[in-house]
Amino acid sequence: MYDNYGDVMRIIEVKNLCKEYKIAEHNSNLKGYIKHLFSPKYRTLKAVNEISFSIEEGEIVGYLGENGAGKSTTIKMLTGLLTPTSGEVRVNGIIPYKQRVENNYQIGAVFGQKTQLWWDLPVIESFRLIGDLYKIPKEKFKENLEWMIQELELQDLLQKQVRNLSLGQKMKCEIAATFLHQPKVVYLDEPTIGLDVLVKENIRRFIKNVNQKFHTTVILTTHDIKDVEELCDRILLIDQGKLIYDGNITSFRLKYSSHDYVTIYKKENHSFLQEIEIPKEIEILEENKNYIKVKYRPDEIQIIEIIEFFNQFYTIENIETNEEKFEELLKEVYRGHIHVS
Amino acid sequence: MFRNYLAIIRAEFYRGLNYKIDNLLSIVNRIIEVSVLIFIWKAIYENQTTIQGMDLTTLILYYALAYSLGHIVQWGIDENMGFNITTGRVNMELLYPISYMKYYFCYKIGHVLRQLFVIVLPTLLVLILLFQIPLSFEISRIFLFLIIMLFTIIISFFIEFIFGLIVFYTTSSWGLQILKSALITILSGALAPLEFFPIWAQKIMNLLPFQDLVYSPIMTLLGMNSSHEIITILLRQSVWMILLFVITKLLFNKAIKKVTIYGG
Repeated sequence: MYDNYGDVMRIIEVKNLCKEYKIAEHNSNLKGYIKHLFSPKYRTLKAVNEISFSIEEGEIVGYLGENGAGKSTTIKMLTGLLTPTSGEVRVNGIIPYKQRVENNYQIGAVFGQKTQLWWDLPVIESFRLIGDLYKIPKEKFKENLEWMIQELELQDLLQKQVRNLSLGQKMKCEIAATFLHQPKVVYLDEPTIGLDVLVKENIRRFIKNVNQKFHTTVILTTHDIKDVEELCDRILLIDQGKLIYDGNITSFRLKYSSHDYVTIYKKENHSFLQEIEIPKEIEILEENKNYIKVKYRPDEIQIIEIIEFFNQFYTIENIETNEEKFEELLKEVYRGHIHVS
Repeated sequence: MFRNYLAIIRAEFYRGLNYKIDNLLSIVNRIIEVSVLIFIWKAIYENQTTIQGMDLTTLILYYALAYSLGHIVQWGIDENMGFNITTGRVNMELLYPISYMKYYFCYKIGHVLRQLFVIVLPTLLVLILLFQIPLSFEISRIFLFLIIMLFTIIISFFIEFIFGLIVFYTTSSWGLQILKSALITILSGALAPLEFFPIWAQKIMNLLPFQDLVYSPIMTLLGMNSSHEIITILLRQSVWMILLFVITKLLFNKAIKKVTIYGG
């Protein structure tokens, strides 16, 4: 599956993918139930609506959206756990829901709290089981395992039963188990949920390294924007079942970010702001005796003009500029204040 | 070659070894249950030497075997399947690179092997010592017993797998396990040899696969059925194996559709 340009291999191809659920509609009282029994009424919910995208081998893609936007449904269709209502999915040429076992050999998946490890086996035994299930050659298994033990700092956990591990330890073991057979594609559904900062960093570093070492394609859903900022080359943004953005983070920010922020630290403790006329392109967000925080649109006014303006009234000691945070931007999108297409 | 299958068998075998107290309690529980029954039968046998052609010594041996072997067919994989379906871990099992049914078949084998070494044989040993039961079996009967037991385990797998699959619909498994366990205890002959049931009940039980789980293999081992009856047992088991295989396949395809189309 090489495209027209030759070199790049598209490992995942999704075309007009749809998933509809039938939801029973009835009143939750006895009368409602009985009525439903004789003349059932359903309403269809389009959890995923005409989504198309393709992903190249070795990419790390963030799949983002609010709760209930259709992220997990899409991931389940990609893994073959759900059959699409219509549309096409191909992962490395395989149709996941038709050739499930074959597909399972080439993928790995982490789903939030659910574990592929055996609850009451020592971690090392669970890893061995995974190694045998995927028929990983013995030397390769040993080599990969040793590397992962080192990268994820698992040495002390190996003899413990999975049920005795903490959430963070469990997730690290889970992630090691997922990458052990060197899958071509890995789906990570909220891999950092509920973890402390150190574990999060450890996992992010690992994903980065494993992506470089094995050239694994990674699809990541998360609500932690730092995951996305640190890991993803590209984001897919989904809202109410529709794909509303597909591209890299920087262009997303450039395209939709409307505001930048600048904080001006001044020497004077008193304020002149009441007395002067402020250009209408800028908005004062906050003023106190140390600094003034200003919001502006970079296409309307240059930062240097703002500084020159305030320089007339104050002795400026320091300035600090901030781009609009990606997280803030996403919030705006979710709230519907920014329309993306 | 069968590396993945063996791995599941091995993992399941070792998994249960972690529950030492649990295993020990299972043995104690079995021994108490069967001892009570034996004491009751001893009282009944005070005034007669045989009931339905069975003397007391044979009946005690029957119970010792029925209660130790019975553990294999009463407590199986449906417990684990049910748990994983209700908690949603079944999704992870469906992502293993092996078909769900083969996965659980291997699981069952590992389960049976562990039960055999950890519960069945110790229970049997204690009972033999406790009631000083004399043992003498014909070689040919032991051989036939093993063949029937092999079929028994396969049939028991299908029954458990079906009960497990029903959890996809009921979304709770406790009641089903109790139902299955009660059905098997009564209909398999673990509670009493089938001769002790009324004729009409025996006629129904002769058609069902349950008596071959406990009653048939033990009667074969004890040398208490004719070669004609043994052939009937093997035929009935074969028919039920095919029938249950078909039912399991159909039900599995339906249940898995429920997961993959309606999202569980």
